[in-house]
Amino acid sequence: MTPLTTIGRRLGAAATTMLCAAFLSFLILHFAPGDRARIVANARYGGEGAADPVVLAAIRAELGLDRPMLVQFAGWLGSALQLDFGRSFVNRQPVIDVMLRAYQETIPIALAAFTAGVMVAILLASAATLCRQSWLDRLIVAVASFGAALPSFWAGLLFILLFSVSLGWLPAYGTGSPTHGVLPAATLSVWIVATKTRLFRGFLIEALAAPHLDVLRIRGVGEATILFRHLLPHAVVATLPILCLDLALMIEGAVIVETVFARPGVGAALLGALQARDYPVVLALVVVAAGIYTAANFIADGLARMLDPRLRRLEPAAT
Amino acid sequence: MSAASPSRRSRLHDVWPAVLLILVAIAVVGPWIAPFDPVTPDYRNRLAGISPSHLLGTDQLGRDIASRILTGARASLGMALGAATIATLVGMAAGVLGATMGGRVDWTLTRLAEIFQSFPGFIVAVAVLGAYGPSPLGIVVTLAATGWMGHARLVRGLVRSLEIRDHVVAARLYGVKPAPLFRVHMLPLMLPPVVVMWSENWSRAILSVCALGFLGLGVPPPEPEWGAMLADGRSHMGAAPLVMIGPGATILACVLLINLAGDWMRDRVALDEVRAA
Repeated sequence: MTPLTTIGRRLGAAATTMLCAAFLSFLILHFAPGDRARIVANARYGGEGAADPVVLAAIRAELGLDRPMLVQFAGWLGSALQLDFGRSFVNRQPVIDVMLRAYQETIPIALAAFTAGVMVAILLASAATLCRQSWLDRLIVAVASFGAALPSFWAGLLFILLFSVSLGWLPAYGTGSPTHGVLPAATLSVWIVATKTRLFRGFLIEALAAPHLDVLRIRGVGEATILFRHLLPHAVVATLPILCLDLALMIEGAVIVETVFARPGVGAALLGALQARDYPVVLALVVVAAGIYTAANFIADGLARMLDPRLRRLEPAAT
Repeated sequence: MSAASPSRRSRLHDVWPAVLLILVAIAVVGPWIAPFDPVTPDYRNRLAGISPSHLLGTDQLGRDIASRILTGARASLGMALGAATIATLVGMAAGVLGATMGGRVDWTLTRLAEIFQSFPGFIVAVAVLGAYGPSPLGIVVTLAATGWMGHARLVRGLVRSLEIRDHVVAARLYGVKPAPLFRVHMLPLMLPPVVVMWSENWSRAILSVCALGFLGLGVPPPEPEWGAMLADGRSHMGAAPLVMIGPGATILACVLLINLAGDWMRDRVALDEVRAA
């Protein structure tokens, strides 16, 4: 099998998965309570519930709500593939605009948290590996265990209490300046620092025991040089598939953290749309998040295959 | 490397199964051992500090925080436990079914797991609970539905590798029927890694349940739940930090203990593997 057909087949599988995920999301929200025509009528003409049946029928016809479910899904899918996710029930804005605005707030925070988190994790893991079995190593492992168990919403509240309320160094809520993003990004990075420190440390300690490194030691190369020059780049590359999935996971974490800090990101968009029963926005947010996950899975899988030829050899037997 | 020094530390580390059992027990009996009514407000005692009768102070409505934490254990620990256990059982069933039936069943189950895997679990949970309205059953089902895939993959792999072990092949050739073959010769060997994954699932589910509660998608008030307690107390945290320290530290402690127990079990499982090989 040539690499290109493998990629093609996996791309097809990812697309099928994505299609099923989109259908499942559509199905779940299709049966959610609340008459859509009434939601739209209330948003457009005000007044609770008492919309004229003629108006409701007109709205149903306009939005295609009177058509069978599968036809509705096909219509939605057709326009979604052209990045048209319909209009919001509530303010009639294109859903794609609502979504782009939300992601514009979320992506910088997520990227900052991810980059800073991975770098801190590499530093901590290197320090722990160089001084392994020492008090520093134990401390770093203990801190990482705590960090992995720390609920992000609580960490966020503690950060607000310490850095905004007590010390007054950083703003606690909202957006506006880059300093507004420091605490949310720091909160979001706690989890990534904790889990990646453990990951890198485990990898480095295992790799340091490899026999071929003894050649370097015999030639008089120091442990630190071996670690930073010969192992660390390898460790980062080898963990790329996991890091790729983690980057997608940051969106999920951002939903919680942004709520703590009252930021208008994906989390606020999702919760606001749910409150208003603005189902087109909810559906688009869920499906796009699923798309990001599927893409991350696909890339992670491809990276793993690229880096580990054994996975490629296993392929025909596995399917 | 942690498996290299088992004898020296095993005595101390044998407490971990007991820790898990105690947490399960707290989830069950927590509401019954709470010293104060967790729901009825007591406005004269609002935001009280630490005292012998209120060990963790009182909240913005004068309710004893320690009692609310104990009562909330059923929601926070219990619902997470339910979700993790259902996810484990469903995942095991799917894994065993896929591995033993093979062919189309296996293919379908694997694809199904892939589809569920492509969902960002927490975002889906928020969307489903937000759209249908939060309820305890809904929370358990949503979290179980977004958590079974890892178990399915693990168990499928375990069954496939166990099927070709010598003792299983020998038993099958001896004429042991499929059900006893699975129960006696494969299940005991599968359980340790499954229990490890179950504990991981439980601690993750606690964080999810509390995060949902924090977002207002947990059990409806006034029923206490740790995440919701944090959300309720946040506007008072500047004046009375106790309202957020108790519930938050409880979540941290539970998740940490379950994770450590899981780490311990994983080391033990790895050790058994080494011994068996």
